[in-house]
Amino acid sequence: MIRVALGLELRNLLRSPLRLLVLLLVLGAGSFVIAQGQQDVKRWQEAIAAGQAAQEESLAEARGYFAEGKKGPADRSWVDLTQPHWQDYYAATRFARLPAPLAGIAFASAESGAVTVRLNRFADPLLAEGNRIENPALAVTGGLDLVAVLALLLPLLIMALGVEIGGYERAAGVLPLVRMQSGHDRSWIWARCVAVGVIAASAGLLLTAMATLLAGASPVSALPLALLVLAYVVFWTALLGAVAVLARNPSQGAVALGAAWILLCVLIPSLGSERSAALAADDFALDLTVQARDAGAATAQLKEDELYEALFARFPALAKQAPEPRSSGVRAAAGGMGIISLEKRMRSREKRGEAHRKLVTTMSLASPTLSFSHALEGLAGRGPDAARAFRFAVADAVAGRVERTIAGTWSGAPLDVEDFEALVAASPTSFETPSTAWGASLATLVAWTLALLGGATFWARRLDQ
Amino acid sequence: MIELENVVKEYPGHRALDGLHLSVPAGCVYGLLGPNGAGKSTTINLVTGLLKPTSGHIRVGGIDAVAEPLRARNILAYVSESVALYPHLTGRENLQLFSRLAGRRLEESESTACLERAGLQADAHGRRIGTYSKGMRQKVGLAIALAKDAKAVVLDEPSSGLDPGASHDLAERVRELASGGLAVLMATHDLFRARDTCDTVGLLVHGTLRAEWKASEVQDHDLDLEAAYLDLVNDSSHQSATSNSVTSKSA
Amino acid sequence: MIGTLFLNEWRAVLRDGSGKVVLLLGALLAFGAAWTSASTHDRQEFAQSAATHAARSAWDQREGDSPHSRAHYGDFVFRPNGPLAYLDSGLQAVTGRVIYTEAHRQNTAMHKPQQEAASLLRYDRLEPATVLQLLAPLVLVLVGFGVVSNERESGRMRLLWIQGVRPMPLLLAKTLALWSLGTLLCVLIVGAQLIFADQMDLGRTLTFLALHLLLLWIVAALVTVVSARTRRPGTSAAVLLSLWVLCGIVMPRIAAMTASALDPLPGRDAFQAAMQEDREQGLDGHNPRDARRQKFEKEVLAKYNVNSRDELPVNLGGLIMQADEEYGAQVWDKHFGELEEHLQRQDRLAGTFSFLNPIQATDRLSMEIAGTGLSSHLDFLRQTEDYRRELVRKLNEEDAYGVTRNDEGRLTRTTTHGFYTGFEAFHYEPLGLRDLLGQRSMELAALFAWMLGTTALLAFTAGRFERRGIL
Repeated sequence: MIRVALGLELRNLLRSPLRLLVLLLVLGAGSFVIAQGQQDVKRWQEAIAAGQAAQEESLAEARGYFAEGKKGPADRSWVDLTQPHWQDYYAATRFARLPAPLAGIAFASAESGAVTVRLNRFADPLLAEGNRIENPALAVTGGLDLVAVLALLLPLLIMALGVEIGGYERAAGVLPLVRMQSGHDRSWIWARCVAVGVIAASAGLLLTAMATLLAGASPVSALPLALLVLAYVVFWTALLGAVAVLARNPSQGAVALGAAWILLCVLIPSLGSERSAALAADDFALDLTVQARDAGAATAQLKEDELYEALFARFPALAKQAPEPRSSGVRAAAGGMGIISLEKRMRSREKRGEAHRKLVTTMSLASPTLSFSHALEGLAGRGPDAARAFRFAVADAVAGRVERTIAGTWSGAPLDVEDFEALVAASPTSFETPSTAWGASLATLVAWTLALLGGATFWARRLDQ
Repeated sequence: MIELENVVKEYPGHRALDGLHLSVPAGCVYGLLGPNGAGKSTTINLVTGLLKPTSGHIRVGGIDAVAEPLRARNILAYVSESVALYPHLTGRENLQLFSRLAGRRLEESESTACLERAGLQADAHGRRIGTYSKGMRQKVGLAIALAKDAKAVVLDEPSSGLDPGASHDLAERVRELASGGLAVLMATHDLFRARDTCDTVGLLVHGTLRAEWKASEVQDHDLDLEAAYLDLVNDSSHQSATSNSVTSKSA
Repeated sequence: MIGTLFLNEWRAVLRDGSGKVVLLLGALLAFGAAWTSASTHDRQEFAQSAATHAARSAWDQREGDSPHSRAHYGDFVFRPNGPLAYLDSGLQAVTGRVIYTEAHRQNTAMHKPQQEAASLLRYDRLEPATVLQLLAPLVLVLVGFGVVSNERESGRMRLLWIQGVRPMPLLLAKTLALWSLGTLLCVLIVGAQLIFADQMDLGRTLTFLALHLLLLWIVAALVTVVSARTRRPGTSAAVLLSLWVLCGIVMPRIAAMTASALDPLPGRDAFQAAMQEDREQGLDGHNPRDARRQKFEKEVLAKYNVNSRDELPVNLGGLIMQADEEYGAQVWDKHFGELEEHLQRQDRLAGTFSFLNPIQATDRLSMEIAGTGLSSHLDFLRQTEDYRRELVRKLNEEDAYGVTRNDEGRLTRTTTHGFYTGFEAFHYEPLGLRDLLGQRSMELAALFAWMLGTTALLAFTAGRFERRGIL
C-alpha cells in the first residue's frame, strides 16, 4: 500500500506547481544557507590563521632577542626576557577553538564564545569575545541557517505536501471506496502520510548530505545529524497522520496542522525565550563586575598566611617551592589570586548558566522543535555549552601560566631560550569542541512520536465507536 | 417586468447564452427549463447582476440592469436553491439584517408578519439558522423577498432537494407572490412543478430559447411536457454534435 | 450599511465557538505577555538600581588611590531599559547590559542576557510587541480568512448582492470589523500596562499604539483582499497562513542574512588589530607613539619654560596620559565611526525588506519608539564613551594639576577624598521620539506605502467586483 501511496504522492508533487515550489524553496533555501555556513567557517578559520600569524611574530621577536643575546628591545630597558613574567608576555601563544566538523549548519546561533584567546597569565576567558562583531539589529532576528531551515521549514514542507490527506478523503467521500477496495481506510491515510514523510525525509537527508560533503566532515560525524533529521521528520509525519485520521475536511486539517506548527515552532519557544529573559533580569552580574573589580583590593588586605593558604589550596605543587622568608614571595603569590578570583567568577557564572540550561531542557521537552534545534547546535559545536567548555580550557591554560610564573619568580634563577621554548611547547594550541549529548533530544522526539501515534489511535477508535 | 433582449454571454472558448430573448410580465411566473449547462444559471446571474452580459439588454421594471445595476436590484428579490443565511443568527435576525441592508428597518411585528406570510412556523422565528431544514431556510429567503417589497423575484432551482410537501408549500407561496403582482422568474429541473406553478415555461438549450409554452397550452391541450422537453433537447444535442464535427472537419 | 455589516461580523465572532476561543486565547496571550514583560522589566529596573548603587558606593568608599589608579579602577555603566522596554525589549537581549569604563580603552558591553541561552535566542520573546506584530496578525488571519470567501462559497454573497450591498462597503465593513478586533488586542495590551507597569511615557505609548493599529489595518485589509480574491476559504487560509509564515518568520531572517552576506562586518580580531596599529603607529601610519610622546613632552617643557620634567609645577605623567587618551579617542572615533556607519548600512540594507514586509517595518519602528532599537543602542554607546572620556579627563587633569612641588622639589599630591565622591554618576538621556523616527524614515515610508497599497487593493478588488460581478 505504501508503494501505491508513494506513487500517488510523487504524482501529486510533480503535477502541483505549488507543492513543487515549496519543495524547491526548502531545497533552495537549504543549499543557500549551507553555502553561507561554509563562508562562516572559512572566516572562523581565517581568524585562527591571523591569530597564529600574530603569535609567530611575537615568538620570532623574542627568539631574535635571545639569538642576539639581548634581554629585550633596546628602547624598553625594563623588559627582561630572563624573568618569568616577561617570558609569559612574549610567549603570546594563541589558543584556538577549532570549528566542529559541522559548525556551518548553525552559523546563525547567538555565539558568545571566543574563537582564539591570546594566552598569558592575565587572560580572562569571561571577557574574551567571539571573532564576529555582531550587528545587534540583525542578531536579534535569529538568523537563517540550516538548523532553522530544518527545524522550521521542513515541517512546513510536510504540511504543504500532506495538508489534504484524510480531510479530503472524508469530505469528498473517497473513504468508503478505499474501504471497499482495500479493506482498510485508515491504513491508506497512514500510507499517504508515510509517503509524504519519505519525500520530506529525502529532502532533509539530501541537505544533510550536502552540508556534510561541503564541510568535508566524515560520514560518521554526520550520522547523529542524519538520525536527528530522520527522527524529526518521523515526528512531524506522525503529527500529520494524527491530524489526517481525525480531520473531517481539508480546512480542519489545515487549521489543526497550522495551529500545531505555530504552537511548537513559535509559541513554546517564544515562551522559553521570554522566561530566559526573566531569568537574566534577576541581577546585573554584580559578582562578575563590581565585586570582581574589588577582588584586587581584597587580595591586598589578605594577611600573608591567608594568601599562601589560598594559593596552596589551588596550586598544591607550589607549597614545596615557597621561598624563605615567605614575605619575599608575597608579590608573586598575590599574582596567583587573579586566577583564583577568575575561577570563582566562572563557577558563579556556571551556576547562572545552569538555570538557563535547565530551562532549555524543560522547554525542549515541551517542543520537539526546540529540542531538535538545541541538539543540532550542540552537534555543530555552537552555543553556550561549546563556549563554556572552551572557557574552562582557557582558564586551565591560564592557571598553568600563573603557576609557572610564580614558581619561576620564587626560584629567582634567570631563564633562557630553552625555558622560553618549554613555555611555548607547554601552552595548548587548539581546542576541539566536544560533541554534546544528543541522545536526550532523540529520545524526546521518539517519545513525542509515540505519544502522538498512541493518542491518534485512541481517538480514532473512540470516533469509530 | 423582466426583459432580456438578444442577450449574449461569452466565456473564453465558450458561448453560454446566444441571443436570448425573454420576457416576464408582472403577475406572471415564468419557468425556465433546460438540461445542465443550458444557460439557466447564467441567465439568473445576468438578471440579478452577478454577471455582466457580453452584449444585449436586460431590463427589470424598465430599468437597464446593466447600466444601473443598483436601481435594478432595488426592485428585485432572489431565492436560491439552497438559501444561504448567517448560521449564527436566528431566522428573524437574518430577515432583519438583510432587510436593513436593503435599506428597510423592520419592526418586530413586521418581521413576524413577513415570516408568517412566507409560511415559517412561529416557534422557529427565534431559533438559529443552523437548526433549520432546507425548506425552512427557503421560507426565510421568501420572507426576505417579501420584506423588500420587490417587483420581481428570481428563484434558482427552488424545489431542488425538498420533500413533496415542502415543494408543494413553496409552489403555493410562489403563486401568492405572483398573484400579488410580482414577476417571478424560476429556473428549475422539475417539469411537474413547472407545469403546475408557471404561467409560461421556456426551454433553454445551448444558450438559446428553443421553445416557450403558455400554461394554457400545457394544461388545456394536455401537452406532454416531458416528451416535448426530451425531443427538443435530444434534437439540439444531435445538431450540436453535427455542427461540432463539421467545425472540427473544417478546422 | 457599513455599520450593519460591521456589527454582524462582530456578532458572528461572539456567537461562534471557535471565534470565541481564538478571541479568548488572543486576549489571554496579550494579558499574559503584558504581565510577564512588566514583571521582568520591574525586576530588571530593581536589579539595575541595586547594581548602580553598589558600583557607586564601591567608588565612594575606595581610599588612597591616585587619580590615575582611579582611572584604571574605572566605573561601571549599567544600561538602563528603554522608555517602553516593557512593551518591546528590542535589541536588549543581544546587547550587553554593563560597560566597564576605564582609562586607555573602550570596552564592549558585557553580560548579554541570553548568552547562556543561545538555543532560545533563535526565537522571539513572548512580549507585547511579539503579540501585536506576530500573534495579532495571526488572530486576524484565523478569524478572517473566510470573511469574504465564506460568503461566496455558502452563496450568501448572492443574497447580499441582491439586497443592494455594494462591494466597497462590504469589503470595508469586513476590514473594519477585523481591524477593530486587532484594535481591541492593542488596547488590551496597552491597557494592561496601566495596571502592571509603574510608569508610562504617554507620547511614546500612543505612538506605539498608532503604529500597531496601522500594521493591523494593513493586515486586516490584506486578509479581506485575499479572502475576496480566492474562491474557497481553504485556499484563502492556505495563502494567508503562508504569507504570515513568510512575513513573520522567514523574511526577517532572510533580510538579516542578506544584509550580513552582502556587506559583511570585519572580524573582531581584524578590527582590534587595525585600532591597535593606529594607536601605536599614528593615524597616518608615520607618527609612532613614542615619537608623539617625546614631541608632547618638549611642548609641555616649552610651555612652562623649563628644561626638565623635574622642574615642572605639574605632573607630566598626567598630561601625557590625557594627551594619549585624546589621541586614543581620535583613533576610536575613526574606527568606531566606521563600524557604526557599517552597522547602520547593514541595518538599512535589511530595512529595505520593509517594502516587502510590513511586519518588519513595524518591528523596526516599534523598537525605536520603545527606545530599544539600534539608534538607541548606538546612542547609548556614544553617551557611555562621552562619560568615559569626561571621567578619565577629570582624573588625568587631577593627576596632572592636583599636585604641588614642595621645598625639596618633589611633587606632592593635593587630591582629597571629596574629589572622588563629587563625581556624578552616569545618566543616560534617551533620544527623543522625533529623532528616533527621523532615523527610520524608510520604514515609515514603507509602512505608509503598505497602508496606501492595501487600501488601494481593497478599492481595486471592490471595483473589480463592481465591473465583472461578484462570481
